[in-house]
Amino acid sequence: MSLTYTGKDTLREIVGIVEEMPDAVQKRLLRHIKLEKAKLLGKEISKEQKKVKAKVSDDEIAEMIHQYRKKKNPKW
Amino acid sequence: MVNRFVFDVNSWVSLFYRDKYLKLIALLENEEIEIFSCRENFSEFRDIHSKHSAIRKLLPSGIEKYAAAIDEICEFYEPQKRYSLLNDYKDNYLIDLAHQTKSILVSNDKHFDVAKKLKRPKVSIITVQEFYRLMEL
Repeated sequence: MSLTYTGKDTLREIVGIVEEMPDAVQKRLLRHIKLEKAKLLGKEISKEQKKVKAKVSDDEIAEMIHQYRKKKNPKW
Repeated sequence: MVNRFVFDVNSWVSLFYRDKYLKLIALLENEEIEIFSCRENFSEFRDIHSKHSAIRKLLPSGIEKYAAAIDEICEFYEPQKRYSLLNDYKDNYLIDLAHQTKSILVSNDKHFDVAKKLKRPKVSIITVQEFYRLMEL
């Protein structure tokens, strides 16, 4: 790793290394990065969810969405 | 064998509301499951979150956060063929998606009960509670 790296240099170095890898490895890395990003999002979402006081069942959730679909499209 | 799933919007809402999203990621990391979605599924979730105030109360974060959370963990596949099975042709996309990706559809919408009895296309449909039990979430 460069001794004078900044955030951008780090990214450039990562891209340089990844570019030389086979497609299958690139895809695996991309999946791994996406799941890491998902974990960060999940932690933020989880923090907010803990504040929710409402108590509803899964069937009630489905019914709310079913009614919304029906209103939007009476054939449903 | 990896289990493949398609989540109806009510299942996505349940997953976030019951705070099971991080556990779902753990299953993906262990390559126990794959989740498929499509543009229609994604935009329906966005539409319902933005227009349905009761759903917004259950999912208080901004829609962009939930949308990105779905986007990062799904394989996107656009269904090619349309089966005209349910009353509303337009809303068969979940059946098409599940059938073409060989996935189990997870939905609590009773409207899909009719599809459970069909021989073609054969699509397995389970409730979100059954999914939680199956994957020990």
